[in-house]
Amino acid sequence: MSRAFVSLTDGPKRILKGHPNIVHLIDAAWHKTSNDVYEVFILMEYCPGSLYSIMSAKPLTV
Amino acid sequence: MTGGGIIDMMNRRLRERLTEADILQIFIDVCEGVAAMHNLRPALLHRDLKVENILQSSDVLYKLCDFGSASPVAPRLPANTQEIRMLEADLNRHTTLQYRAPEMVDPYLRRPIDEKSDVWALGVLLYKLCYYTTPFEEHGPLAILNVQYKIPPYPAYSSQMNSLIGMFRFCVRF
Repeated sequence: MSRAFVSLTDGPKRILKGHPNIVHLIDAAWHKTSNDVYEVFILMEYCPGSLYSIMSAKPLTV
Repeated sequence: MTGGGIIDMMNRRLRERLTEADILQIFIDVCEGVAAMHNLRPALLHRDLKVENILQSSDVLYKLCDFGSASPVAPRLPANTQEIRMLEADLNRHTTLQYRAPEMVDPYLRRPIDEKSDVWALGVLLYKLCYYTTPFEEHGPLAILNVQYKIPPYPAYSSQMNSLIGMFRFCVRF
């Protein structure tokens, strides 16, 4: 999780924000639940479909 | 009784799969997203490009997601066996075997992992969009290292499409 945060909270986040082909990060929050455990929430833009589901719905048949 | 039923069914099924135009539409969007990452300074690698990480926002707009594996290019090659093992563990955790470039399959090659490694994965992704399987599914890591794959006879695509898939061979450093 820490890796995701490094790349989301510094420069790249600002530069990639607004690119039409990158899912947007809206906000993120985290809090410590116990000694070394963090609960992390990442709010992303909603995309109704996925390539995986499109391919599953259109099988390749001979 | 004629064969019309079967012909109709085959035609319907031919229509249902992704067309070459569909595939190019998806692929262009993915390439644009990857290009935006690679054009950052320092460049950011996605490292886990695959079908599962592409979302559809509208009929004609596809988006890249899952940046949990993203990282900048390492400043230098691993210097010793211990560093190679650490790199290997990191790759096993953050990347997907079938989409891995040779330098990721065998870190002992000590070849740089950079933008070209993402471009390799783009080639694998394009192959999967066309043929619904990855090019190295059958023969595994050895086939990746030797860049050995076959273009299935069906479905048929234009020769330009198969040349585009073949582009990822130029990502290999020897």
